[in-house]
Amino acid sequence: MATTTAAVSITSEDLMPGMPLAINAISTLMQTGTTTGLELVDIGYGKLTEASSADSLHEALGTLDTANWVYICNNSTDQSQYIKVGIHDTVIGNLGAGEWLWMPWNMGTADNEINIEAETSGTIPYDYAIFKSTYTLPAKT
Amino acid sequence: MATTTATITINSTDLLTDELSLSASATLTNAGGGTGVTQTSGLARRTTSAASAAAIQAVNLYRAGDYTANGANKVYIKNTSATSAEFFTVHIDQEEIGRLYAGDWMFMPWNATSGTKAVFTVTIAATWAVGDTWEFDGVTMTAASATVGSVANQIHALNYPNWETTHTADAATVVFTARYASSASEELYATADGTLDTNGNGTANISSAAVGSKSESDITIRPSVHTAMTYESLLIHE
Repeated sequence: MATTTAAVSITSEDLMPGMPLAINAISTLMQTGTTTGLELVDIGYGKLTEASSADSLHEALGTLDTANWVYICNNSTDQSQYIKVGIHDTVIGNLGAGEWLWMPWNMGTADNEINIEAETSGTIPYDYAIFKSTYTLPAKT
Repeated sequence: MATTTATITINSTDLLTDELSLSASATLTNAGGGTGVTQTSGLARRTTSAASAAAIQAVNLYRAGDYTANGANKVYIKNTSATSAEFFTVHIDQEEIGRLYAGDWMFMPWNATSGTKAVFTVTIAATWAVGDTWEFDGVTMTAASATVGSVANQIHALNYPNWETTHTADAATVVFTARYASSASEELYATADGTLDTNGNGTANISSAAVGSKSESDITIRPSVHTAMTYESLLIHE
């Protein structure tokens, strides 16, 4: 079994005056509800263009109600460029230049498809990683 | 301007044949960058429990209507449970994002797209008397003056649990706006929704009513068990 850890640090000395913010958390990525580590991963790099509409980040071909994780980072350095991240028909939020997200993903149904879209202008480079409990390869065409 | 940074590090020495070491750090700014975010809910910790599995309820963690739509808002949630099978299911509106199992955390942007709020106008007219009353939303106004402008001033000055008011001093009208986006099944508010008790022929008619629409991105979490489960959450927002 593989051991993969995800750690976060959220810090600020002045967001809350007199009360420095220092959140540190680390988790080991486990298969659904177990103590067995996740063993499937897709890691990639891509570019989004503003001219295109929303694109699917990854096919939702896992097993319903399983533990999966999504990492996306907007690698743009242009502060006007952001990636709009959605799930099915709902917008989750906007990833500004240099920002990242880390969230669980119930990837067992097309209704849970995660989509990404470049906003404002130009091309936005991004990194992504998807850690999965299970995955079914797309059917042969 | 505050400086807040969020850093993620993902490591594994045995997931791939090569070592995985991924790291990113972001300084959290308002939309468009340049200015650091300055507002936060503060880190909160809460324990959920219910009488039975059938009684489990989702917790509305953050209501979109309370925050800036399309803002550079960020949400952090952690399941502090130590029981590996226990999880919180995270939803945005009706879309399930995923499950946070014991010890898991998440950090994501949040668009905070709200719905629209119900609204109506109440108009104070005709002959009022000192001591007349008008009740709405569980709050009763007792007239201290017989002039319609003063009665409207009093209505505006009260605090309603589910409504906010706008009013021009001494005008006869008060506009009520719901504090939260409405349910899709809500009906138009009408005069009968207020309770009038007058010794004269005073009126408090409701007009210009409009129903709202439900919020589109409230964040809710639902515990998997009815026994105690604890989570931590933080919202950093514009």
